[in-house]
Amino acid sequence: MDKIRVENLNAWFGFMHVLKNINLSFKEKYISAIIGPSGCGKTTLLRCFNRLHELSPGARVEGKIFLDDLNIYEKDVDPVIVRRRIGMVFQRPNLFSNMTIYDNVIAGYILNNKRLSKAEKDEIVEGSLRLAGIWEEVKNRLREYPSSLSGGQQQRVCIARALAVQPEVLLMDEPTSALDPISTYRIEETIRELKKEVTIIIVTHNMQQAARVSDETVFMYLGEVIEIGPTAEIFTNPKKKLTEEYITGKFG
Amino acid sequence: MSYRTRKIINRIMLTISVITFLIGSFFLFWILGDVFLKGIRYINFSLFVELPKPPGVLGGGVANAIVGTLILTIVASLIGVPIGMMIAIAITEYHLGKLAWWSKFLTEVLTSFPTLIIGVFVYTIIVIPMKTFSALAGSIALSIIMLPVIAKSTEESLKMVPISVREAAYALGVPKWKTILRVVIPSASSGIVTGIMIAVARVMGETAPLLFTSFNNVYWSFSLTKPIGSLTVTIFNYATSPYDDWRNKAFASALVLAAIILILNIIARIYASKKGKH
Ligand SMILES: Nc1ncnc2c1ncn2[C@@H]1O[C@H](COP(=O)(O)OP(=O)(O)O)[C@@H](O)[C@H]1O
Ligand SMILES: [Mg+2]
Repeated sequence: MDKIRVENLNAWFGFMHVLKNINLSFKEKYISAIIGPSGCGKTTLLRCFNRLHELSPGARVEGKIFLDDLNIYEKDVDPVIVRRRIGMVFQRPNLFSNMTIYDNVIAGYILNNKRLSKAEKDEIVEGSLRLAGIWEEVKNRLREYPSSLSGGQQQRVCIARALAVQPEVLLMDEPTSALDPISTYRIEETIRELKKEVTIIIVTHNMQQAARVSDETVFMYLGEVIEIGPTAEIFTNPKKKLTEEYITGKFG
Repeated sequence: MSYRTRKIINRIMLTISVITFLIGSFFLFWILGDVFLKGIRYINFSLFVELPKPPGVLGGGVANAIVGTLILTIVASLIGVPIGMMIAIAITEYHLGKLAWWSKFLTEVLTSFPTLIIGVFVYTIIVIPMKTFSALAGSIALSIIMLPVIAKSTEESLKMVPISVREAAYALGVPKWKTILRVVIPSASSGIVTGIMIAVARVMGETAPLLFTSFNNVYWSFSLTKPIGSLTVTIFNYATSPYDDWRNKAFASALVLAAIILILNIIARIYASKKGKH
């Protein structure tokens, strides 16, 4: 079943047309990777899924994106509600520096004034940190501030924070690009585990990463989708010449 | 330019900077030292707890003026801080186009406005219609003086909060206004608080605008609709009086005021240095 379906999506920064007539779909509980050279529009596409793109000055979107049956660009759809259903992990860890690790994980509840009992909070914090594969490392440091954690640990707490509000879809924008190989390995493990829980769309410019974690791969080039297919196929037997050239490292 | 000439120019600039710094510090310490030496002798308990006595009668204090200055400053802050912060939020967070441009323009004009004229302005719009000088009018005048300082410092502090932090909140489904209130402002709080302290310290030292607004009162007054005493106006009156006792009290009061302002500034510095911790 398709969790997200994109129809004739176009996006602009001012006069710059960065996404050109995108048509795509993402299957439920699949891990889909979006690959392509720098500047081809991967981040922009991801930010269209949770309606973050439109917040940039001068940014504009046209077209439809269906989350199940709901077109999230319909006039009366509140972007805030969309963002509660579609979580996001950014390229660089962006924990709230003035909140403890514990509060960061449940920030989605705290900041929306959702009342939770202590037991509920504890459960959500532990569950989310376990899902993000970092419970053992931080369980005795929950009252510390995030700056005491390494970048890789922070990024996994970011994943926990996104998971804590139980999104249906998790967007990840090059979540390991700022991390060392061991942290990267850990996060990739986590991503594979998460597949049972959520639909994941991950942007990466690391092709090995796409090959390692994803079921499906989308190849983008200059704001267009060139090819989409099962990851194994894209990497071993691409249909388009451009895809093959990118995969084999002729450009990038 | 050769390395040699650059080095010489560097030397010259450094010397000029050091000299100006020394001249500046000299006058600063001279003034502070003078106030301290002349004031410290007349600091006593009754200064803080007693009302002024008529000229010629020894003793008495300026307790009413200390309380008056506190009331004026607190009420001014209650008006000036929220409005100043809202202006900053309108400018930085809600890019309100023309409106933002105008509030920015007006706050900048206001910064360089003589405070005396702000006093006269409040006199015409508040004191004349109310037919009396009042603590309220004084507080409004002070709040107008605070406004641009608060707006500017809040704006600078809000701009320091990275977009990524706001986006983290948006991505969790937090509405924009809640993000501002609960993420952006707390992240910027040390800068905002520093700005408030500096603004408060600044208006505490104002005399001219108060002469037209809160005027003076040698008795206890806790009413916003009546004239109220203040340290600065008291210092002004005492210092220009022909009585030795009053002139001495002026120095003692000046020392008290300088101490309060100095303490506020020190707290502000400590707060500012906490910026970016965690
Ligand atoms: N905030 C912005 N303002 C203007 N142009 C931008 C902005 N962000 C990205 N762009 C441009 O949009 C295009 C797509 O960028 P992006 O989606 O970030 O690419 P990718 O994530 O694939 O590297 C690029 O040409 C980039 O320069
Ligand atoms: Mg990108």
